[in-house]
Amino acid sequence: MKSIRTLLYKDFLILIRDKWGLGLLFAMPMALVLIMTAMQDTTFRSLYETGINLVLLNNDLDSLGNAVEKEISGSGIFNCNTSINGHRPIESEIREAVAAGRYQIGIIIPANTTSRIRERVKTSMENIFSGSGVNPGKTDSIYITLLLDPAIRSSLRTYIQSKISEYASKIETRFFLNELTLEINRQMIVSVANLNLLQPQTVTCREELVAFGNRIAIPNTAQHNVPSWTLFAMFFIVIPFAGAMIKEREDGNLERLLAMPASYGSIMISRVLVYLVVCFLQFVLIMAMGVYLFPLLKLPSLVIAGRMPDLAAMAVFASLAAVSYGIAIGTMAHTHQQAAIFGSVSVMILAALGGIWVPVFIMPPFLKSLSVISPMNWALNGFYDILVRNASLSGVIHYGVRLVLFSLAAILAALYFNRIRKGLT
Amino acid sequence: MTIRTAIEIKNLTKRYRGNPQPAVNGVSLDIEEGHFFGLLGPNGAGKTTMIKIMCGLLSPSSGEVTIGGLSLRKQLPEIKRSIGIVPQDIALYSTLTARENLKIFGGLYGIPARKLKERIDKWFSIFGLEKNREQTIGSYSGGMKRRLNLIAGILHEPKILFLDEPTVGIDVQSKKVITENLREINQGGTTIVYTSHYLEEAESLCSSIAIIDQGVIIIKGTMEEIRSETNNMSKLEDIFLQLTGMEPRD
Repeated sequence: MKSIRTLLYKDFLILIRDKWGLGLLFAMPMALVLIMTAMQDTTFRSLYETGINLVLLNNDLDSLGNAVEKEISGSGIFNCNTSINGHRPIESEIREAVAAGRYQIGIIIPANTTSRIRERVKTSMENIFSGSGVNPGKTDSIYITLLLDPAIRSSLRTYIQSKISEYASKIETRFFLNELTLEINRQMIVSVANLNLLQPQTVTCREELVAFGNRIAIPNTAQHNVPSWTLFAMFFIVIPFAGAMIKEREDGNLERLLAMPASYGSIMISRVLVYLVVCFLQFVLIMAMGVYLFPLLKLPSLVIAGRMPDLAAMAVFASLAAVSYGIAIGTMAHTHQQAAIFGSVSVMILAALGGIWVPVFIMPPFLKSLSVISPMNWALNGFYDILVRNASLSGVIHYGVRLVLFSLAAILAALYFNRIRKGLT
Repeated sequence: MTIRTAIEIKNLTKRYRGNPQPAVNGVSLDIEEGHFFGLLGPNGAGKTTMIKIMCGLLSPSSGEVTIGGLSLRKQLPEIKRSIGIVPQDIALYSTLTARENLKIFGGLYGIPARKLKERIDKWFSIFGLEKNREQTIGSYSGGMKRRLNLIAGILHEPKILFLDEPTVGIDVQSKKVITENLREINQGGTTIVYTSHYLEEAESLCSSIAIIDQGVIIIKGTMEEIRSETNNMSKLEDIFLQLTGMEPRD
């Protein structure tokens, strides 16, 4: 026990003496989380809240054109413009402006679109009631032109197309029902009310966020980014950790310690404990930053809502996995270069597989099945379950158990490798 | 008076992976208590491997080692408490002060805090480092580091002290203070096992010597015994060259 105390004293002193290194251990993850959250928040808002620049040329000036214009303007997604440089643009001007990147989307609704739809419906109705039927092959297509910046997301493109189709379809149906009403009233003695009035919308969507229990934290960029990038930063501790191990070995200090009444296990336990504290402090600082600093920077606040103890427990499991991985790398790597390259690249691979950069659900099936091997995926799921799905600690403890098993495997691998080095196996 | 054996080595062999030639090949050796024992040999002869095995840092491929009557294989933790090691590298934490380094190395032997402080002060004074105790090792000169490297190995007053080239690359003054103190430590009853390439220094310090080459002990005994076995050549360096050859080693 005394030797562990002495080793803790040693590791603590070594850590705090490297003030720049220690500062970076905290400053870099905080900067990373801040930058990634701010960046993703801007992207998120650019897609769903603040407008994408759109220019609309409504040559129809009738029902369809006006409905599309009203929908686009009121969607909150787009900054809808109907003029360029203070005047109503012509098609070539819109093409030029979109190509130059001033607008991401241009919509050109041709003249007489509504009247052509109306005419077509009328003709169809006459054909139906005259008994000659509808001949779709003869109908002229009506094109609404979408001019798109090549960088525009396909989801947004699909959104606009579906909105225009929806409105065209609604208007067509309305015209159809109007014409049908007129025709019925022409042919029947007793007049009927406009059939449009009998067309209430029967199917609508009702959104509900589902979570365990009563509390629902509305997911925002902070809820998503803080846990993921915190984990990424925590796992990056493998590089200074492994570096410290290699330096101790290269300087001959490890051999000196091993010739003293200190086992390899006790030397590792001491270092793990010190770096666990570092990892945990990283976690606490980043959480505090999410809760207190983000709102001051006009970023969405991290909502912890009394779940700090559960999050802290998950952070301890994740920290243990990170430093144990550091032990394995520090033991197996022969040089600082090996540890730095293998450590950083493997952490990035584990992060990518774990869903830190891209959510697992949008990964291809092959990568999705691989994601379950990443300890970062287990920890991230644990954090998300607690933060946004309101799961209890007992509900996420299986992730904790996996992280502890991963840690044990990493430590056993390190001990085994150390025995090989010593010539015991 | 019965002479007791401090270190007993029987048929010790050490093979490294990927190297068909054993680094130590069937060495048997007894080192008596209180001796200043020089283990000498050219580069790659097997000296450091033998010291590492005796300190429990490497496992032998075969053979038995007994230190102070304790089996290295079975009683390593007890052995570690009674031995000290001064490695060839400056095995000190460069960002820590001299006092902090010694506090750590002494603390690992469980020396009570007050006693440890007294010993640290004593050795600082003996080795002329009292003014530099709060300096970090990174700012020490080569000689100061060597002196501190030695103190770290003797703080717990070991019964057996292993020294792997303790005076390499230092000034005459530092070398003098180290060798004088090593003599005193040995006279105080500590058995010393010492390796060096400085044969004159070895000749003046050691009470018995073994020369190892290619993993095999080629001669051992007191200086007198070795001289009589080698046609009374007077200088250890001449004996060494005659036995190990003139060819430079890797």
